Amino acid sequence: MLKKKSQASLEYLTTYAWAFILLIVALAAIQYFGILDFKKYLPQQCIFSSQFKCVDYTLSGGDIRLRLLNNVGVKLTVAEIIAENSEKKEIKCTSKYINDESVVNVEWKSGEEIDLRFSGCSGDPSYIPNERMEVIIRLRYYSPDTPVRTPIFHETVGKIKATVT
Amino acid sequence: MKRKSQSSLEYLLILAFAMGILIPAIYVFYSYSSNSREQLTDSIVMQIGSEIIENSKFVHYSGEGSWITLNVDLPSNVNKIYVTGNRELVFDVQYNDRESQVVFFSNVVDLYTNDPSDCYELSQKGVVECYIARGDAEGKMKIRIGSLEGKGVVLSKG
Repeated sequence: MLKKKSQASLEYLTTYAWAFILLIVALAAIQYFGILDFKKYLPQQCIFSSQFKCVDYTLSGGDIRLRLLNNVGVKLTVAEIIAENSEKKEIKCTSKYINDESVVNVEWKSGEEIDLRFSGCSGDPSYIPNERMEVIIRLRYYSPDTPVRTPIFHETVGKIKATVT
Repeated sequence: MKRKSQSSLEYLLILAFAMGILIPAIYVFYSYSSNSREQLTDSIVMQIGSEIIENSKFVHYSGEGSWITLNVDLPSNVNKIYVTGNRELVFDVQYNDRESQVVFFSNVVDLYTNDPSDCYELSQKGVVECYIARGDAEGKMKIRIGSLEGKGVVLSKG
């Protein structure tokens, strides 16, 4: 009697074991092919006002790069650029470039594109390879043609949502 | 007893599976829809700003005594509308996680507001902001653009 019962239990467990093995293999395959990686279904975007159209962007090799188009309709002067993480803390980068020059107060003609580059960015506080991140870009500018004694600074704030490669 | 617990477990497993699909799907949908909302706000502000600048030129060149009233429908996330340096019309827009400015430059016509008591000098020396709307800048509103004795135009909330 006892023997029959234990045999039935063993058969029951064996059947379940096969089911578990199949389940684990299936889950491993799903994970391996990245089906459960929901990050890749989220859009990678560069969002700016249409006055400063974001033409291209990349987060790779310790760099944050973006190319913006001046759609404002007037000549501008770029005074400062700042990159922050989603918690509004400045991302630590060793240098900033506008059109590959490490200078401020760069002239930006209407209809022209400009390249912004933050290089040597590190994981503190949040530039981590293979992780998806949100970078907030602050661009301070003024119009040199406004007839005032001191320039009037304005700030446009955009963001990049992408995976660091 | 055994049957009951089995059906409960099955029910829980199905529910967990459904939630596992539903929650990421909601997050992806929310992410897409918040971006569309930002783009919509941006395009409405762009349209209103361009309309004000274009009509300012029209009113200015139409001569003294001319005026026009624009009916605009401001998005709720426009915090302020003001004029700086008599040539720049600024919209402060609050997006989901950041505040940004949309600026329209009037190259030809000087812009004034009708209430000098609502002008403030900023910490930036010599820069004055004169408000057309703030705080209450939401929904349907009228913006009056009137000629100012050949000097420019006066913008006011109608």
